[in-house]
Amino acid sequence: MVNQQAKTKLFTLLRREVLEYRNSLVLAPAITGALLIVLMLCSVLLANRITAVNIDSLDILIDEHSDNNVSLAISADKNNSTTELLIKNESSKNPNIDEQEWSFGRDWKNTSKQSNQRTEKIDFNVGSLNPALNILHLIFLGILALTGSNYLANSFYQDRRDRTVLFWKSMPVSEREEIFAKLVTICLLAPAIYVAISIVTQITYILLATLLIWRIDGNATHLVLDNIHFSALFGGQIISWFLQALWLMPIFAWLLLCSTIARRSPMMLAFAVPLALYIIELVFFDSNWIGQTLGNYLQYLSININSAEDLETLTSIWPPIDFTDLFWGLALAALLLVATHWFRKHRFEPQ
Amino acid sequence: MKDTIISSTGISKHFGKLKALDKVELNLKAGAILGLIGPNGAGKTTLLYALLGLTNFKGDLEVLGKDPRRERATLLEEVCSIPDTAVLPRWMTIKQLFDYVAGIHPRFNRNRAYELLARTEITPQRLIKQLSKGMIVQLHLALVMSIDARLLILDEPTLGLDILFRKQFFEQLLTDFYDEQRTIIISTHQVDEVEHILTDIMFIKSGQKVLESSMQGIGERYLELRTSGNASEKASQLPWLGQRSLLGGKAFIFDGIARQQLEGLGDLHTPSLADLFVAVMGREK
Repeated sequence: MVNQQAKTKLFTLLRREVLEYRNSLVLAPAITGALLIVLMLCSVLLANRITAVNIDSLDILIDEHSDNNVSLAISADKNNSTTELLIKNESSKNPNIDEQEWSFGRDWKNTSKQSNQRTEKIDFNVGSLNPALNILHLIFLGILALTGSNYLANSFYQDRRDRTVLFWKSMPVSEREEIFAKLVTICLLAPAIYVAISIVTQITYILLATLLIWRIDGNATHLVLDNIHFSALFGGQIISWFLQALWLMPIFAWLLLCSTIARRSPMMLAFAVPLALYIIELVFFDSNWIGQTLGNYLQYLSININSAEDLETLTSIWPPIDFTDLFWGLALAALLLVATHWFRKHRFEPQ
Repeated sequence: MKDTIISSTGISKHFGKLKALDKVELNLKAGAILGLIGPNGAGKTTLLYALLGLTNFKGDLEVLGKDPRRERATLLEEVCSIPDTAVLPRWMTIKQLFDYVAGIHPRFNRNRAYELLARTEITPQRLIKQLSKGMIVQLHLALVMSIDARLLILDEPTLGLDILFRKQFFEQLLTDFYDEQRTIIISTHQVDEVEHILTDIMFIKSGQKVLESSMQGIGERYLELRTSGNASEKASQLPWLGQRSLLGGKAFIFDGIARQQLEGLGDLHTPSLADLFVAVMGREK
């Protein structure tokens, strides 16, 4: 009974976060996904337009650019009402067509000399598509980093500014539960929403690519589906976030603390304090321990991509885990969360 | 015997050198409606925050047998509050608000909330930001009255509302919430509007309790004499608590003087809370 009540309470707190920050948590990834799909759709429609003219038209363009002696010839067949566009390399072999045979009311088709090579030309080995799809996913992660930081910086600031903190605090919810709900939101709920929308976008991309290949008579299974390693792709995308969330925990906790104590801009405070400490240490103590420590820690959040192969699975683009650094990062996060709890409990007065 | 709702000894709270609360004692039984009255900056809100576990303090305080500092979340399952006007989240719809409270509060009755809301012009689909200030207060009242709470704390709940809303608010509080097992604490400046519903009062000034009494005790202890002419001169020789001019005469408030001593000098009756407040605060100066 108590357990069920606790679950209901947590669900309600998380629902509140999604409702209150739906722009950051839901609309931002949804709009990003929609935009990316529209871009892909546009490219498919553009490609469809080319294939509607015929794949041979592409050959014409390629031939033009390769300085071949392209010649166009139209053969008219009066009996079957078909007019054929012939493309030849030898300009000297122009057919002699009687001007009287022209009829624009007839059906037209164009044919190139290479039409029999069409299937072979597009059935090349495209290699793994995982890197391309992972780049797509990294776009979502980048937006999550921005909206997530904004969410955390505002989470305990906005309600003090609009005085709704007085309402939230009139409800039987402890500060610990409040902070826990924020952490679950940023570590699990928001990434789950972003990863889900990212995966939907990627699947849509895959379907559109399949459709495109199918429209130009290619082997979609061979070209698209066989070149995606789904378990490495989606598994890597899901696992990589949780690894990153552990490294990001001190930053999350710092943003929450700034959100709890800031009188004006929590984000400015979040940047200003480390910067001020760095400058003070540099100027007055002639040392750079803060800068080096921060730089050392932030390297775990940097992305190292030297080749497309590095993007095969997302877990391989970040530096390997150093458990000692991870421990100190989590210990710092715990301290910052304790401070957040204290300030939220005792210094929450509206602005 | 009625349950003790609040018991405290010497609650003190300092903000730097400023004494927000100075050894305030407060004891309250179930069924009381206490009016907490004081000028701005007297410490009313700090005292209410202490009762709600929203601020730290020195001294002992038990609300419903719990220490608000350590058991705030559990305590708030039985204590409701309207901490100010218009503090409901403006981005929510009313339905979302009720869903939230239903998920958080084990004693919230959603059907009752909708019943109470049906008596107003507020529809559940509306956003709170679309409501007028008066409507937001109506909504907040409907919300807290749908919670089966033993103690309701109201801090200036009708501030900024017109007189119609204010009257309606306090009437609804009595008819739809109050019973002898429930206790209400109201902090307000509009003393004359709550006077008729109070069972107890506490005057507070500069963090100190100036007066604490039941309304019955006020009638027994204080007398207001309205007099004119020579009788006014005689009355002014007695140890009065406060005095004010009337049209063609004067009014004196006396503390603890026998009624017989004043009879024959003018009209005698129990002073209004507003007049008593002014008199007591004047004495404290």
